Amino acid sequence: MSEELISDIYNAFKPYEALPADSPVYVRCSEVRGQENIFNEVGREIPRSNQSTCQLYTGHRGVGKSTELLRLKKYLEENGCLVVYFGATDSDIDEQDAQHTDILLACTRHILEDLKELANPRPLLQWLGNRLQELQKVLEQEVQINDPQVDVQIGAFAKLTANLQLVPGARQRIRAEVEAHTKTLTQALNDFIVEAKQHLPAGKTKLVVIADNLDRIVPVQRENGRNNHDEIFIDRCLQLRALQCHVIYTVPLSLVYSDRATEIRDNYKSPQILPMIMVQTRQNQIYPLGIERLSQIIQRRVDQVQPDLALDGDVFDMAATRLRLCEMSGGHVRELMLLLQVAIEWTDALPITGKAVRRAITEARENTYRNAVDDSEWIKLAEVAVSKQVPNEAGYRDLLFRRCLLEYREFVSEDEIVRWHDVHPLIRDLAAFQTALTQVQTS
Amino acid sequence: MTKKSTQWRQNPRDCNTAATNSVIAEESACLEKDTLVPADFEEIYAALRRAIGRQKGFGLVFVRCIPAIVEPLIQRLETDIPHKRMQTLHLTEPIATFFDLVQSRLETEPFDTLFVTGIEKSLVEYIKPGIGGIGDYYKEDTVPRILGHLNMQRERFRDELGVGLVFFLPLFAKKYFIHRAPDFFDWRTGDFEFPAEPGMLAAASRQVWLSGDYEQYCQLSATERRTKILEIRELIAEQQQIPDQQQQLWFELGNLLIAGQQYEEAIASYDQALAVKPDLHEAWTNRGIALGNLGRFEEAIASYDQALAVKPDKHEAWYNKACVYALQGNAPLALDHLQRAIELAPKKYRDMAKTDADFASLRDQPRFQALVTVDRGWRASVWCRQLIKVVAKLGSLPTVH
Repeated sequence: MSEELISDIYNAFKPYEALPADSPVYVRCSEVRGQENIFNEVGREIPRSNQSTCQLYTGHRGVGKSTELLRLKKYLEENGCLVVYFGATDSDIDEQDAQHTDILLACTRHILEDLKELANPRPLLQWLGNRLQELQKVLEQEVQINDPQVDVQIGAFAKLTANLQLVPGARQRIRAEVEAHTKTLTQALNDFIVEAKQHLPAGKTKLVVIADNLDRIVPVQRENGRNNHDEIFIDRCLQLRALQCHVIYTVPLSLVYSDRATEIRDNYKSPQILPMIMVQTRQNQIYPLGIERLSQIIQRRVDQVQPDLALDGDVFDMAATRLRLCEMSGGHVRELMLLLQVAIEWTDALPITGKAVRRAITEARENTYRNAVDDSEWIKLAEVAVSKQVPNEAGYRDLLFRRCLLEYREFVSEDEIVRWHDVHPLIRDLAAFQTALTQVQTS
Repeated sequence: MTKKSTQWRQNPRDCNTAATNSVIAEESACLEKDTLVPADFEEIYAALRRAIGRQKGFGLVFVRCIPAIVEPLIQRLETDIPHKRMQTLHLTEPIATFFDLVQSRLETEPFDTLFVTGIEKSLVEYIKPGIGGIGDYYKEDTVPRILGHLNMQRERFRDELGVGLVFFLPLFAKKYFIHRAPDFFDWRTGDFEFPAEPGMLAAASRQVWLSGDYEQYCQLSATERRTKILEIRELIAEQQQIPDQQQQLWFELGNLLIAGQQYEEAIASYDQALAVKPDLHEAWTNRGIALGNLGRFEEAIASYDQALAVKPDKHEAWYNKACVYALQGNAPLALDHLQRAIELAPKKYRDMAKTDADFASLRDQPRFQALVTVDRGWRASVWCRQLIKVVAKLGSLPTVH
């Protein structure tokens, strides 16, 4: 088998691409994610509701959130909605310590970019002009944004924070300035939105904003034991909910396990969580259906390269090799891609052998996961491995954030959907974890 | 090409779980343990070569190894992967942004793969006390600017540059990525660790303690000291490190930490050294110093006693113990110990004791004065003793006629 083929297969498993809505390699995994269905759980409410809704969507990084949101976007567009979808980037979000004003400005910028033909941006321009004038005074420095494009201006304004880093205290002052005028910004933005809604294209009746990638904000811990996620999504929920259209924010999974989880539920209804694909049951038994789905994900991608390849025999030396790889991914799609790529790196020519997969597993376990856990955390991990539940405590949300603990969802019956947790399978065989597990089991 | 199994390819609804179950049983028989013996250098190199060679467009690879082998590795990769255009970016100073550096390099001379060294220099300044994390690392109340930048910019690297990036970095920097730039790190296609070979490790370790000197440690700036501390920790953590070198490194680390007044951490380091070599009296002595500086006098005395049990004429321990007793206000014991120290190394401790602030409370005591003063009588007695020795020697010589 040629080096070119193995190289093409290697590149078919890039761990960093969200799939477009109609991708031929997409595999529906709702069944093995506890009947999770983004159309029902997030989408359905929007076309029906007369009032604007604000929802949170979450899940582990790399579990497939952006892929699901792109599908949702298409679904909503087919159901009478105009959708503004954006993935926040560094030009939107402060890299070191993001705050809620960053998110508000990001929404403003992307709404303007997409809807500038539908409404008059002058009130927003006015707001911006006023802020610049005042900043000029406090910073005693020329602050000018000359581009006549409004969206560029807002973008550049948001970027000011980064560009003025060198001026002492500039960041705080810009923040304070925006903060003090959040209300008027929201007002101007809402005027713009309301006007745009009156001029929606034929067949569209709703306006939806999907703000993706907000889960990318690295948590910054405060002295009072809370972090910037709490401040943005809990303390400032009124501001985030103030837009006069339907909004979906992606948030970090760890936020849902904050000790103020009830406040989140009160403000945003229940956040929707995209769980891992179940590859093992709560009774620690392998869950064959989940393994099948992961295998299908691999097959679809291989088919794109060369459709007549059998997974067992051509790609993997035998079924057991493929099963092991799927099982050790923990049902996490990006981990699956990564393990597969590493296994191919340890393979000179196809098929991928059991040894290459074991090598990929060993390398991921020893090089990555062993370094992701602090010495004080093994016991916490062992406790979750036994109880299958994550308490709403700071220490555990970090472990969720680092993906040492994974969230699953099991559909038992219409009335009983169980959310449960387990330790990442790559951690399970680390000696330090096994020691902690024995300790927890005997006590 | 034959299809050996198409079972699970059927419609998911009809999937044959019984068949999968039987394969699972089979699997546990042949794949019981995943953990393999660590791969050797050449095997890891082959995997890295394939990873870089097969990558098309954007890709992220992390390679952790000691600095000494980075250059040879890069040269080998350049020779072995002729179909890729490769360049190296050596970062010598801390940086705040990275995207623009890669972009401008790409504009001057196109490449497919960029090797990056020195990214850890941008992280050192963030190693300081804060909330959470381990020791002073990966604090949860700050995000190093470069990591925040990479975490938010990852799409731009993919979409606008489309090249492969290979980061060569030490362990602490990799941990920093895992903890504080998790989204960027998550896009990796490889995470390689090259164990240093024993010979190279021995040389690098020896270099550390040969260049180690307490006076010099005190002169280092905070950043220089942190860099050196990290360097030692990396060496200690090396897979093939041997216990004898390890304990020497722990000991050096303890000394560096004392110079930085990080006494708790210093004690922990000495404990590690002593766990490997319980009779390392230098470590017991310096451990005593760290404990004394924290005001934990009883523990300090116990530590000096351990040193003296190994080496009864360890004059540093006698002297330091005297200091602790003096600070505790126990004049008789302080003077007894000082006397022993002075007997063992008269010149050194007479001068030292005269100005040592620890003895402020004893300075007026006649016995203290007598100990630190070289009186004529004492000189005479030394002279006499030497004379007796000479006479005795002479006496044993055969008589010359």
